[in-house]
Amino acid sequence: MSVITDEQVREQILQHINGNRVALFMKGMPESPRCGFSARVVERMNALGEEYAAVDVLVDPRIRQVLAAHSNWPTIPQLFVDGELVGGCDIVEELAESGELATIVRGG
Amino acid sequence: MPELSHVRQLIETALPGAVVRVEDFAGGGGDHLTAHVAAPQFVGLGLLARHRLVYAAVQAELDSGAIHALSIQASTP
Repeated sequence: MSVITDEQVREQILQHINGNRVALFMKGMPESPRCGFSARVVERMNALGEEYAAVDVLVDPRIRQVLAAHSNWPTIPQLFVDGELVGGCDIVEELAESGELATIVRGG
Repeated sequence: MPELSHVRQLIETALPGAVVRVEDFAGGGGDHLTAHVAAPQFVGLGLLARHRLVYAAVQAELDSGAIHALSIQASTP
């Protein structure tokens, strides 16, 4: 079993963030979220019908530590668009309600 | 589980002049909290910056796991 080093975990995270226009770090996967907040963001993203890369942070506890430091955001889920943090569940829902989420995700 | 008033005081101390209300998330075990914060410091700040200020105020409780989840509603007074 190959052991992934801390540095490799960091690189994979940055690759997800910068390699995908839209990246969602969550607990579980979209088809089986394992946290209410993650599930609510998945619902909002699915309602938009736009593609996004999903990463399950529960796979490796180091993901959350690296992510929290990288984005200066302590909780999961975290939505990134064009490499920038959009926010967690509260912000994604507020943006969805105001219609701004569609503009951000679709790059209006 | 953290006392709701303790969490409220932490946020009020970090954001002088803010009106803060902390509630137990419906059905939460006391560690899923919702903070309604109306602070003058939020004027001109986007949602991310506002929420970061609130998270910073309770960072120790988040790190210790005393607060498992904190939902935030951040507005200006």
